[in-house]
Amino acid sequence: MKPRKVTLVRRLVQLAFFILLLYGAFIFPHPLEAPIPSIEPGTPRTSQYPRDRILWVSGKECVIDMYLPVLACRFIAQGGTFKSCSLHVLSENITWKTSIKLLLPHLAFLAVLSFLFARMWCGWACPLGAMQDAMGWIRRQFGAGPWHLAQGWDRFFRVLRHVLLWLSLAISALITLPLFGRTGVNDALFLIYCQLCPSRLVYPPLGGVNPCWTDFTNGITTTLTFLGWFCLGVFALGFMVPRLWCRFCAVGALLSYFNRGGLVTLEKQAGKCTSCGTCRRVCPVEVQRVYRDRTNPIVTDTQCTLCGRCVESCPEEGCLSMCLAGRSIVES
Amino acid sequence: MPALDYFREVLETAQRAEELKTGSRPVVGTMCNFVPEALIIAAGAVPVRICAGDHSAALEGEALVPRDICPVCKSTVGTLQRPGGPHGRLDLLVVPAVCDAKKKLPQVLEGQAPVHVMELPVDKQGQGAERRWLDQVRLLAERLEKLTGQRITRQGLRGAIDLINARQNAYRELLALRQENPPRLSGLEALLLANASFTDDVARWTHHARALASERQSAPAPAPGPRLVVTGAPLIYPNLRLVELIESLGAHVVADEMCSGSERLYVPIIPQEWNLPEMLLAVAETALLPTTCPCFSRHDDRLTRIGELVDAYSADGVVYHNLRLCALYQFEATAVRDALAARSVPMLELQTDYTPEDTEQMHTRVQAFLEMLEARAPVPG
Repeated sequence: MKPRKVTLVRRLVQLAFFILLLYGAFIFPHPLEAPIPSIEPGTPRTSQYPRDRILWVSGKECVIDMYLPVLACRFIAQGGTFKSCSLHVLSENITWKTSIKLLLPHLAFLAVLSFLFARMWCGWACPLGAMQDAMGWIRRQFGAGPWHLAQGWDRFFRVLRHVLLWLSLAISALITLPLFGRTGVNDALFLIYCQLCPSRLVYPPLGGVNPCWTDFTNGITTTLTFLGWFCLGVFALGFMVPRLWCRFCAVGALLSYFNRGGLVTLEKQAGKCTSCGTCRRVCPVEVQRVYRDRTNPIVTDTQCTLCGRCVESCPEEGCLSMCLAGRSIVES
Repeated sequence: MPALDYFREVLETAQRAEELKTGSRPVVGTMCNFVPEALIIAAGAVPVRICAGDHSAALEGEALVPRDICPVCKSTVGTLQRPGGPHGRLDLLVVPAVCDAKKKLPQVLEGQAPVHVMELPVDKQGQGAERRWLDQVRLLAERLEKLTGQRITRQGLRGAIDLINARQNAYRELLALRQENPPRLSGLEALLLANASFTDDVARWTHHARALASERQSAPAPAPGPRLVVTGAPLIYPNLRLVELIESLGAHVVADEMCSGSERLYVPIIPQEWNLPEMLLAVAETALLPTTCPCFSRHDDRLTRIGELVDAYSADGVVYHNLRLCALYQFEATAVRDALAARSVPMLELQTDYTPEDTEQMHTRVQAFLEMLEARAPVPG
C-alpha cells in the first residue's frame, strides 16, 4: 500500500517534542535561578507554586518562560523547556486572581497556538501522547491485540472530560472562598487537575525527580492520591487501549473546542468515499465521524488528534485531506 | 502473444478447471463477492466464484429451480449439474443469503457439494450490522479450517491480504487507462479481466494484469467516442453482449458499477494492525461496507459511487442493465435515474435476459441513445 509518510513525519516531530519538552534544560543550559523543588508530602502546594512565580515576570525556572497548550508540564521541574500547559496556567491564575492585564498576553498567545493547531498538539507534540504511542508499539511486538473501547464508554469519556475540565476550573475559583471552611486558599485542592493528571507522576521520574507518590496528610490529599493513581492506571491501560488517556484528558477537552472551527481541519469529499471503513479502523481514538459523515466537507471530530492516519490509509485518491486554512497539505 | 489472450484462455478453455481438479488444495465455490477470498486463501483453499452467465445452462437449471428466478441463479445451478464444469471440483460451496433465490438455493445445491450459508444484514450501516457480519465471517473461518485442516494463522492471513491487495492495485493501474480519453482499455476487456478473476489463481492473474498494463502504456489510442458508464445487474461471461454491442457502435464503456466487474477488484483490505482479530475485522468490513449491492435496504452508497464514476471517468451517459426477474436492481433504477437527472446525465435503462433473442432490439435502443448523446454534445469550436 501507500508509504506511511505522515506517520513517519509525526514520529519524528513527537520525538523532537519529547526531548525538547522533557530535557530542554539539559540541551539549552540556562541559569536556573530558583528551580522548583520536588513536592514533599505535607508541604503546602501553594508554597511551591506561589503567586509571584506564575508568569514570565518571575525568576527563571525553565528555558523559555512561556506556556504551551499541551503538557509542557510544570512538574518536569529541573529539565523542562516551557513553563506549563494551558490548564495549569488557567487553574493557578484563577486561584491567585491574577490581574487580567498581566494574564491577557499569555492567554492570547495560548489561544493563537490552540487556534492554529487545535488537537494536533495532542497527536504531534504531547509527550504523554508519544508515550502512549510507544506503549502501543511495545504491545504490538508481543502480538497482543488492541482492546477497543465499547461505544458506551466512548460516549461517557466524551462527556466526562468536559466535566473534569470545567469542574477543575470551578474548583480553582472556589477554593479561595470562605465557604470552603476557611478563608484564604484551600491548599490541598490547589491545582486540582494537575494532581490527577498522570504527567505529574510520569514526568518527574523521567527527569530524575521524585514525583511525590503519596500524600496522606489529610482527607483531601489522601483522596487525591488515590484518584491520581487511578488516572495513572487509566494511562497505563493505554498499553492495551490505544491513546486511552487522550480520550479522558481535560487539556484535550480544552483544545477540542478549537478542533471544529480551528485552522487545521480534516476534510472529506464524500463523493469519492466508498464507505470501506478504513478510516474508522485505523483511527487510534476510534472516531466514527470521518466514516459516517456524508454531508459536511469538514469532518474533524472533537476526539480527533489530527494524527493523519486516516488520511494516509484512505485508498481513494483525494477523498480525505488535512487542510491548513482550507488549503490541503496532505491528501489521501 | 498479446497480454489479453491469457485472460481469454482462462475463460474459454478448460485448462483452469483441469488445474483445479488435479490440484492438491480444496476448491471453495462462492456465490458472490460477499465471501472474503482472503479468508479462503488463508485457510489453504482456492476461492472460485461460481456465478454463471451461460444461457443454455440457465435452461438446464430450470429443471431444479423455478423458472421465475433470475438467470444468474438458474445458470449457476445448471452449470453445477454439468460434469466437470468450469471449476473442476467443489469441496465447499459458500452462499451468502443475498436475495430470495440465494436463500433457497443452498438446499437445492446440497447434492453437489457441502454448502455453508452466510447471513447478511439488511442494512449494512445499521445498528450492530458490522458485528453480526463479523460473527458470520468468524463462522466461515471455522468452517474453512475444518475443511482444510489448516488453521488460519497471522502469517497466512497477512499473506492472503497482501495477495488480494496486490491484485486490487494492479487493477487500479488498469483503471487509470480507462480514465484517458479515448481509453486504452475497453470496457469489454476490463470485464473479461474481472470475469477471469472469478476462477483464476490470484497471483498469476495479478502478474498478467501488470503485463497488460505495461503493454497498454505504449499502445496507440483508439478512435474517440461517447463515454459510458454501465451499471446494474452483473454481466457474467459469456453474457457480455451488452458491452460488446455498445463498443461495436463506437462508444466506450469507460467504467462499470457491477459486482462481476470493477467492484470485486477495487477495494483493498487495510487493517489497523497486522494481528489476527484486526485482520479478520478488516477482511469482514471490506467485504460488507463498500459493497453497493441492491440487496441492502438503502442505496445511498450506490448513487454516490455511480456519480463519482461519471465524474472521474468523464462519462457522457449511463447504461442501466436490468436482468429480468431481479427485482432488487429494478427497484433502484428510478433512484439512479433521478440522481443522474439532477446532474443532467442521461440514462438508458435496458432489461434483458440471457437469451440472445432481444439483441436486435437492444441494438436499436443503444444506437438511439448514442445518437441522442451525440446531438447533446457541444459543437466543437
